[in-house]
Amino acid sequence: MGKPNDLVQGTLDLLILKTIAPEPKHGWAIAKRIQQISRDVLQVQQGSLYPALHRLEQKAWIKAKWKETETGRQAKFYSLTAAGRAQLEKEAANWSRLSSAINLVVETT
Amino acid sequence: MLWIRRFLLRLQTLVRRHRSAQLLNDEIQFHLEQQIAENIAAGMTREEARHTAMRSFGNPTVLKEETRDTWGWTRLEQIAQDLRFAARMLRKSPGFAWIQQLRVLLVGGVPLPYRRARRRARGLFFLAPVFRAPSFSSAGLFSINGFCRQSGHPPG
Repeated sequence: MGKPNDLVQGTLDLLILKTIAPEPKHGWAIAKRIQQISRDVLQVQQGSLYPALHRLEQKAWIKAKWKETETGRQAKFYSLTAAGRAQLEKEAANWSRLSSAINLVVETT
Repeated sequence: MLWIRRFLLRLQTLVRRHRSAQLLNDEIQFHLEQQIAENIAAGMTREEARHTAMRSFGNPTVLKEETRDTWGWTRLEQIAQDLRFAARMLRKSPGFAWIQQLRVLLVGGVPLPYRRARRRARGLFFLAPVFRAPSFSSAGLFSINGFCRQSGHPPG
C-alpha cells in the first residue's frame, strides 16, 4: 500500500497531470480516479493533493476554474494548460525510462 | 510566456490573499462533503462517514497551510519582515550597523573574543581605519547576524 509519503513528489505531479489530461476534474474526483485506476494500490492521502494541485497551478501547468457539478454545487475544476501537456509528456517519458531501468536491475539475476 | 503567467498568478494570490484563502476553504469543504456523501451512500452513519472522510483526508489545517505556502509569499513575507527590522536598526545607528554588516560579511558572524577579532581585522588592512574609528571603541564589537550587543566594553 503506497501512502502519500511513499510517493515521490514528482510522481504525484505526474499522476495528477495524467488524470486531468482527458477532461477537467476537481480535487476529489482526481483522488478517486487515481485510486480507481491503480486498483486501490495507490492510496493518495486525499488532502495531500491540494498542496500539489496549487503548486502545479502556480507553475501554470494546470489551470483552475470554478464550475457547477452535476449536483449543482460549485467546485474548482482543474485542467491542463499547453505547458502542462508538454510537462506531462516529459514526465511520462522520464518515468518510463526510470521504471524500465529499475525493472532491468530488479529482474536481472 | 510562461513566466509572465506565473508572475500574474503569484500576484493574484498576493493581492487577493484573503479571497484565495477563502476559496481554498471552500475547495476543501467541498472535497470533504463529497467524501462524506459517498461514505453515507456506502451505508455509514453520518458521524462515521464524517470521521472516515476526515481520516482519509489528513489534517485540514496543516494541509491548508502547506497549500498556502505553495503560493510562494511566506518566504517573501519573512524576508520583508527581516528587511523592515534591518532598516529600523540601520536608522537607529547607521554607522554602527553598516560596520557590523561588513564585519559579519568579512570576518564571519561568530562572536569572537575582542583581540582575536582585532587581530583578524588588522589582517584585512583595508578595514583597519574603520576598526580604529572612535565611534567604534565605545560600542560592542560583536554581533550575531546583525543583533548588536550594545552594553559596556567588549571582553578580553
